[in-house]
Amino acid sequence: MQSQKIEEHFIAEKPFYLPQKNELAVALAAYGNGLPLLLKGPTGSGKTRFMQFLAWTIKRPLITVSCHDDLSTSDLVGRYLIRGGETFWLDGPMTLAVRHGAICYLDEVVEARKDTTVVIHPLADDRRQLAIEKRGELLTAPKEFMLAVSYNPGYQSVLKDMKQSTRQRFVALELNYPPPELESEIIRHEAGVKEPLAHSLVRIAAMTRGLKDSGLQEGASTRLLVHAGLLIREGIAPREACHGTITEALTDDRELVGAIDEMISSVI
Amino acid sequence: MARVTTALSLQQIIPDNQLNEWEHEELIEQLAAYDAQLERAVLEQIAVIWPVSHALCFAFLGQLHNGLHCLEPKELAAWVKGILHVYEADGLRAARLYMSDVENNFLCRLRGESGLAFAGAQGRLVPYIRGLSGRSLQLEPSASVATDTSTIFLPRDVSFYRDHTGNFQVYKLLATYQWGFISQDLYCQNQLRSASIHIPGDGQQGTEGDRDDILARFFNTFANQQLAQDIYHLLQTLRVSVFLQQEYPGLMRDLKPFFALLLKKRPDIHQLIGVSYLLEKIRQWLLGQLSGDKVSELGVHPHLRTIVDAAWSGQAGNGDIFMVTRSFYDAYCRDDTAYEQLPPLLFQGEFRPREAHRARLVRRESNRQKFIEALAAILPPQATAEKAAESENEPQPLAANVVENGANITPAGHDTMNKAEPDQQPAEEPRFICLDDEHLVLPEELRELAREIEEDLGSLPSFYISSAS
Repeated sequence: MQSQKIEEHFIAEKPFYLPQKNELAVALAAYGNGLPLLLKGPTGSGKTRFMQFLAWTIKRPLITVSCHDDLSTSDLVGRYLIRGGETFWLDGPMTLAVRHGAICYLDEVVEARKDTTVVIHPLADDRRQLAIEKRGELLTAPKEFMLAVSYNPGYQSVLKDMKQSTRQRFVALELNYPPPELESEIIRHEAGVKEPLAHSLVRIAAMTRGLKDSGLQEGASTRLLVHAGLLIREGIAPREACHGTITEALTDDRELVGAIDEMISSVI
Repeated sequence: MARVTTALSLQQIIPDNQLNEWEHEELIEQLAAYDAQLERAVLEQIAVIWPVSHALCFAFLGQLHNGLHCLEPKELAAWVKGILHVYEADGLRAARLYMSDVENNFLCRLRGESGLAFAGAQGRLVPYIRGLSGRSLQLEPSASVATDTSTIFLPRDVSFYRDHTGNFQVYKLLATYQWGFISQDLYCQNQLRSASIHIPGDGQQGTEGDRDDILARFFNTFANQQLAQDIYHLLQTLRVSVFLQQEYPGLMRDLKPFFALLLKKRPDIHQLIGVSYLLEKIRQWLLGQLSGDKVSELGVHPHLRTIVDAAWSGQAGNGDIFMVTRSFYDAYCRDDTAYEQLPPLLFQGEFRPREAHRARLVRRESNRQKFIEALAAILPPQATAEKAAESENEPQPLAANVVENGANITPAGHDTMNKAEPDQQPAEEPRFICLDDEHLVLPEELRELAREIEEDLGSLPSFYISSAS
């Protein structure tokens, strides 16, 4: 049996994270009681950063899996590999996390194949068990282990919804876009820009977030604003930087592209 | 001899008995001043317009002198065709506006500078203004720029520039200014902000009646209401301009050349007297400030400077504009017989308090229905059943934030508002409903709706809640 080095998954430096509400207290309470965590929120709203901050706070390794529609149970649990005429078992990220009492974070969990619920369900209730069928092994998670999943309700469809039997096992936390002052502070810190520019970027984001009825699936995330700030700090003209990082990232519709560019040029 | 010939020609088009004697004389005098070719061309156009509308014909003759500064006689027919087209589409007022700017409304297009039609700008402009405002504002083409607070009315086309980019920027400016008026509560529809406004000279201050009509009450205190409205609207335009410079500096910077262009098109101030002169001076001063040229000075009126400074300070609220409107009127409008109403600034548009009030009532009813339906969808079944039974026998109070049976709306955070400056404070959203000591968290959409209702009515009427059961 081979295993990845768990040490690689520890968060060495304190991640920059500004709490929006009491999410850290709730997450710590969930962790203390062995309850799994469900993070809901739009893209770029800080879900992954929050998990990093939580992992750093409780000094546990964080194993992140970006789920996709080809992700199967084997990818999570592990598989046998043949190398040099020998067969050996390689732990998947979920097994690795359970063995070492780490946080296993399944990002965009609704994207994963349905058969993954087979391993998620027993780990997410009071059994806290992971069955490795191919090895005939049943692992019971130590108290340090935590399962966390995230999804974006804005992208939900009939085909990619989270089943009630799954979601009702989790403590849910909604992480929305931060309030303007907080978001401005995040941009200043992450992009190294001054307050007036950060404030303008936040205002632009707020405008795009009000465009759902006009055909925009989602508004500009905090992440996009940080990208814009980084380009501007590097000397790219502000309107050009915003066009590249915000407008074109949000939509291909030419009318909406034009409208968002006009908002940017009004504010900056 | 020439006058006789002219009179005979005119009589064939307009029988003498259809004109007042002085109208007949003035018309003959005007026509006789033209050379024979021009007189013939003008008479031909009178023959076309007179059967359509006598008022339009007089308006045409009134504007003809200005028109002929830039028109050749052979172009008259095409100009009149354009006038009639606008008249049929939007009426006499629009036709007057069309005639007042021959260069932009007629000659630009004649030179192939077609401008940008509303339909061409709409696709980008609608999401732009909705993003800017965070509201589902409607845009509609109209003869003049205005807003009723639900819809922004914009010109059917804009042809200040040869390229669409420049003309789109003008559309953008017009829409943004009208949003500025809505945002800064030009029509005093925000009850939370307006409730404590002192109306100078109003004996009804503090009474419950006419709560919605604070603006009507204000204008009722003036002998010349039209003049008071013009002063108020212009001073509000100063205030909104400061707001736009703070909030949308990029837009205001990009449009500086356009403000300079508008300044050049304003009437010669030296031809004006009295209050018309002063109001036009403020308009031109504003355009000077916005264009960055600052060539237009306010002059040596210290009191006028004080009034303008108050509106231009960036701190002014509606209450301050009420005060300075009153102050301006009292200082300069004692003898307003010479008042000549000039066209407002293009981006300022028309002041339409009645339309705004109608739109407000429509929105109020729509919000009421939406709130009741949305609240009914989230109320616990038991609570709604109990409340239904109780509310059948209860009178419905007009407005309160406490429901009779112990259920109450709790607009959390209201106590933190700065009561000293209600004019400047945005309303906070009610975040939850307290039903029999149980907190029911309001969804975001309902919170927003509750905030809008509170802004409109001052508080959330309790029967909105009892009706949801």
